[in-house]
Amino acid sequence: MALPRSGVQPAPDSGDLLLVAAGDDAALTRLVARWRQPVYALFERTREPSAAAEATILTFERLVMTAPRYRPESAFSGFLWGLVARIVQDPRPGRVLEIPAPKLAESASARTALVRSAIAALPGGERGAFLLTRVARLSVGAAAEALGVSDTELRRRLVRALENLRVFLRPLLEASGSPPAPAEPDAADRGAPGPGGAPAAAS
Amino acid sequence: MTCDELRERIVDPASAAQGGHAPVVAHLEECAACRSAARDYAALDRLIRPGTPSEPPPDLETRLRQRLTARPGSARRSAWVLAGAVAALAIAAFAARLLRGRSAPSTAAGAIPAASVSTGSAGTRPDAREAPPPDIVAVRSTPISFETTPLTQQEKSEAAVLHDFDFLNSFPTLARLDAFFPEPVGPRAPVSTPSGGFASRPPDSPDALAGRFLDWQRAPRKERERLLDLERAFRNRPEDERALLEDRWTFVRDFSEDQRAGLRRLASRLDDLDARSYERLEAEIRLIGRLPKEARVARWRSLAFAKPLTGQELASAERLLLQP
Repeated sequence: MALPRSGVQPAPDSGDLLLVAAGDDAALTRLVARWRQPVYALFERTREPSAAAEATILTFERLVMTAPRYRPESAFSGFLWGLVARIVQDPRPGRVLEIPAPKLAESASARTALVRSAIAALPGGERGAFLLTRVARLSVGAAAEALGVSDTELRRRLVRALENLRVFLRPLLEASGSPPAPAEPDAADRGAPGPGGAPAAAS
Repeated sequence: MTCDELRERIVDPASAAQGGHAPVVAHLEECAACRSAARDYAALDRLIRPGTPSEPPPDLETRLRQRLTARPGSARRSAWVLAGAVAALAIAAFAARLLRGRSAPSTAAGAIPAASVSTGSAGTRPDAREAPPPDIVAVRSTPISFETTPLTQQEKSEAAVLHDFDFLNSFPTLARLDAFFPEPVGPRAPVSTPSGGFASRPPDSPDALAGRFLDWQRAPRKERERLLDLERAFRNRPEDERALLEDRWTFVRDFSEDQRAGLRRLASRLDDLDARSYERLEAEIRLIGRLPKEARVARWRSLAFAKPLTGQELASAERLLLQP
C-alpha cells in the first residue's frame, strides 16, 4: 500500500473529528468505536461502572460540542484527553473506603472498590496526573499538555499522587508483598525494582 | 540528588533517562526510603490495572446519541446530519480535485477520501501520540458552520451568566428531596462555597464560555426562555438555599439518566406524603446515614415508604443513601 506523501500514516481521528464538526454521524461512530474503551477504562478506575459510563458519554458529548473549535494541526489525542482531564479532575475528593482486611483478602470487588475510592480521594490535579499517565499511559509531556501544566508540575503532582496512594492503599500494598520502608539499606534490595525496574521508570 | 528529585525522575521514564542512571542508582543504594517508594510505585502500577480490560456498556453510543438529540437545538439535528453528509462529500471531492493537480505520483494514498480515512483501524486502541493529520484535513481550513446566525452581544451576555444547564434542569427536583439529604447523608445549610465556586457555576474560562455560546447558538428560542426562567427562579431563592442546592447537585451530577428519572419520581412520592409521614421518613433516613454502608440498604428497604417503590426509584434512593 502506498504511503501518503508525508511518509506517515494518516491520522484518522483528526479527519473524523473535522467530519464530526461538519455533521457527519458516521465519523462520530468511528471515533466512539476507537476511543470508547480507553476513555471508559480511565473513568472506571475512579468511579463505579454506571458513573464511568456517564462520564464517558459526557466526554464524547463535549467532543461533539467542541469539535468546531478543533484545530487539525494539534493532535486529536491531546484534544480528547484534555476533555477527559477536565471531567476527571472535577469532582471534589471523596473519602477512602475503610474495608476490613479479611474482606479485602477474599473479595476482588472489595479491592477494586478500595482502589477506586483511593484514586477518587486524590485532589483533582493529582488525580488527573495519575490517571492520564498511569491508566491512559500518556507520556508526561502529553499529560501535562492535556492538563495545561508544565512537565515539572506534572511530575510533582504525579509523585504527590503516588505518595498519597501509598498511604491510602497500604493494606493492599502489604498484602501484595510490598513491605513498609526498611530502616537500613539491605543487600537484597539491590535487585529490587528501582528506577529501572519500576514500570514507570526508564528502560 | 535529593529524594524529591529522585522520585520525580523515577515517575517519568523520559526524565529518568536524562543525566544517566548512575546518580539514580547511587541514591537508591543509599536511601532505603526511596527504594521502598520505588517498590511501592511499581506495586501501585500493578494494583490499578484490572485483570481484564474494562469494557464500556454496549449501549454507550446509543445513549450518547440520545443525549445529543436531547440537547438544545436537537430539532435541527437531522438537518445537521444531512448537511454534514453533503459537506463530507464536498470535502472529499474538493480534496480529490486538489490532489489530482499535484505531480508527485505518491499522492495516491494522500487522496484517500475523507469519509474512508479511518475505516482501517476501527475498534482498535489508538496510539497515545498520533501522526500529523493527513493532507485531506488541511483542505478544510475554513470551518463549516451550519449555525449561520452569530450570537449578538446581548445573547452572549444572557448566556454567559447562566448556571450549568444540567444543574438548572435538576435543582427543582433537588429542592423537593430534602428528606434524602439530612445530615449525615447529605449537606445541610449553611453550606460554604468552595474556593473555586461550585461546579454548577456559570462558565468562567474562555473554553467553557465558548462551549456555552455554542450551546446557546443551537438552542431554540423556547429552550432559551425555559433556561432563563429556571435561572431566574434559582437566583430568586435565598443565598443559603442556593448554596445548598449547588452542593446537592455535586452528589447527583454523575447519576445516569435512569437514576435521575428515579429521583424525579422519588420527589413526586415525597410530595404526596403528609407532614407527619414526611418527618418520620426524614428521621429514618438520618438514622440510616449513621449506619455502616453495608447495613443501610437493608434498613432502607424495611421502611414502609420504600416498599411500593419501583426498581428505578429504589436504585436512585440507594445511590443517594450510599454516598460517603
